[in-house]
Amino acid sequence: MNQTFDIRRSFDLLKLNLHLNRKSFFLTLLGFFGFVFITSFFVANNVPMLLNRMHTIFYFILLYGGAALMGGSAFRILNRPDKSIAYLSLPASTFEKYLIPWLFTGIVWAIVSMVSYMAFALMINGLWSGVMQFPFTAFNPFEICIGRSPVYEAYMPYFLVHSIFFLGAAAFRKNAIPKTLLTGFILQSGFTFLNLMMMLILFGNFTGMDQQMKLIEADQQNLAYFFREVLPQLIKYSFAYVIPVIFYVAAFFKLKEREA
Amino acid sequence: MLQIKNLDFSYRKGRKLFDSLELSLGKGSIYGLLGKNGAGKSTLLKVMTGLLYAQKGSVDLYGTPLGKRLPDTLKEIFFLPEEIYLPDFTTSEYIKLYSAFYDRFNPAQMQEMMREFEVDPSDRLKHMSYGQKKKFVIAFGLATNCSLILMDEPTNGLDIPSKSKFRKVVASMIDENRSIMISTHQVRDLENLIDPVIIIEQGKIIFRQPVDVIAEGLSFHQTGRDESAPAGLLYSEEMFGGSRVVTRNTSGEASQVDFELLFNAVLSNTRGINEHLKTVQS
Repeated sequence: MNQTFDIRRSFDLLKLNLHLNRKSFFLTLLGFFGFVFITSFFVANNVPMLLNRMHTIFYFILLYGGAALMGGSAFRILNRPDKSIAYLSLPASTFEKYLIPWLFTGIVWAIVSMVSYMAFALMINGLWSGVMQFPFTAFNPFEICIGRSPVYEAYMPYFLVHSIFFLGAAAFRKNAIPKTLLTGFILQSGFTFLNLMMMLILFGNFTGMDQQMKLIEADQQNLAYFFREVLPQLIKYSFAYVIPVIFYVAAFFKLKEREA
Repeated sequence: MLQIKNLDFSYRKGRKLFDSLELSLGKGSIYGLLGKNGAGKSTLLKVMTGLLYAQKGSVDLYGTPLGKRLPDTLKEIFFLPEEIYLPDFTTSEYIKLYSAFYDRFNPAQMQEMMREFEVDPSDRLKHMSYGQKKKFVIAFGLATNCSLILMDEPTNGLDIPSKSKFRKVVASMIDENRSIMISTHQVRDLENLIDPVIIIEQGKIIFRQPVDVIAEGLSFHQTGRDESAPAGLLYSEEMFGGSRVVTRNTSGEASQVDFELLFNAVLSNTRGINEHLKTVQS
C-alpha cells in the first residue's frame, strides 16, 4: 500500500471527516438560509426588482465567508490534545490528513455553496413571485457582473481567501480565524508602511509624486506600459494563482510538524 | 520490535526531559511503565507513537522511524491516552468508521470485550459515563490487534469490578505477536498483570526487570515497631505500627511482589536494588 496516498484510505478518511463535521456543516447552512429566507421576504415585499441583487450579495457572503470559516476551522480537531491524539495517530498519511480537509473545505464547499444557493434562490424567487405576483427571474451565479469585470474575476480570489485561512488553521493551535485575521492585518500594515517608505526614498515626498510619475512615464514609454498594464495583471494573477499555492504548501508543512 | 536510541526530548530549551534515553521492547509482554508525576511517562508514550518529535536520537518500530507517521507504522500502534476523545457517534458508527484503518481489526473480539465490560452497544458514545467510554476505547484498541498497544493510566475512572475485568481482558489478549505497555501510578491495579517492570525517573530508565527476577531476588514484608532491622535490608518505610521493608530474598523461593513498595524502594535505593538483582540474574 502506498505510504503517501491510497485511494481507499483517503475515502475512509473522507467518510470519517464527513461524519465528524456533518452536524455543524448542515446547521451552518440551515441557519444561513433561514436568515436569507426572512430577508428575502422583506425585499420581495418592498422592492422585488432587487431580489437577485440581494442574492448576489448573500451568495458571495456564503461562498467567501464559508471558505474563510471552513478553511479556518479545517484543522480544529487538532486544537485539543485529546482530539489531536486521536487524529494524528490515525493510520493515514500526513498528505491524506491534509488533502481531505482541503477537499472538504475548499472544493466541496465551493460546489455545495453554489448548488445549494442556486437551488434555494430558485425556490424562494418562485415562491415570492407566485405569492406576491411579480415576474419570476432566476438567479444565475454564472452571470454575475461586478462593475465591468467578467464573471470569472468574481471567483478569482476564492482560493486566495481559502488558502489564507487554511494556512492559519494549520499554523495556529487555537482561535485560528481571529489570529489569521490579525496576522493578515499586521502583514498588510507592514506592507503599506514599506510602500510608503519606498515612495519617500524614490520621490522625496508624497505631494508631487503623481506629477513626477507622469514625467517618468512620458520619458519612458515602456516603463509606463509596465506600470499601467503589466504590473497590475502580474499582481492580480499572482495573488489569484501563485500565492494560494505557496500558502497551501506552507500549510502542509505546518501540519506535518504539528505535535499532540 | 520498538527501539529507542539515544533519545533527547525537551518541552523547553535547556530543560531536557529525556537525556540519551535507551529502551527496546519485544513482543509477547505486558510492560508496566511506572514513574512519579512529571517523570515523563505520558511524554514517552507520545514519542513512541510519533505524536511528539524527538530532538535527538531515534524511535523506530520494525526499523521504521515513528516520526515519519507512515500509515503502515501507525497501523501497528494503538495509543490510549489518559484523556480520551470520542465523537458524537453510536458505538457501531465509531467501530465502522475507525476500524477501516486497521487491517487486523476483529469485530467479534470487539463485541466479546464490550460484553465483558458491560458496554451497551446501542448507546451513543456521548451519553456514556467516563468509565464506559474508557472501557469502549480499551476494547477497540485491543480489537485492532496492533503489534503494540500503549495505554496511559487505563484504570483511571474505572470502578473496582471493571479494574479486575480490565486485568482479565488484557491478560487474555496478549500473545507472541503483540505487546502492551501500560503506564500508571496506580500500581496496585496492575498487580499480577505487568511483566517486566520499567521505572522511569528524571528522564531516565532507572529500573527494568522481569517479575520473576524481582520475586527471586527481593522479599517484601512488614515488621513490627520493636523488631530490629532484618538482614539484607535494602529499603524500609514507616507505616502505622511498624515498617514495610524490602530485603534480599535468601529463602530460595519466589516472593509475592509488592509493586508499590518496589517502586518506592527503587526510587530511594536505585543502585543497591539494581546491583543486587544483577547478582541474582548472574
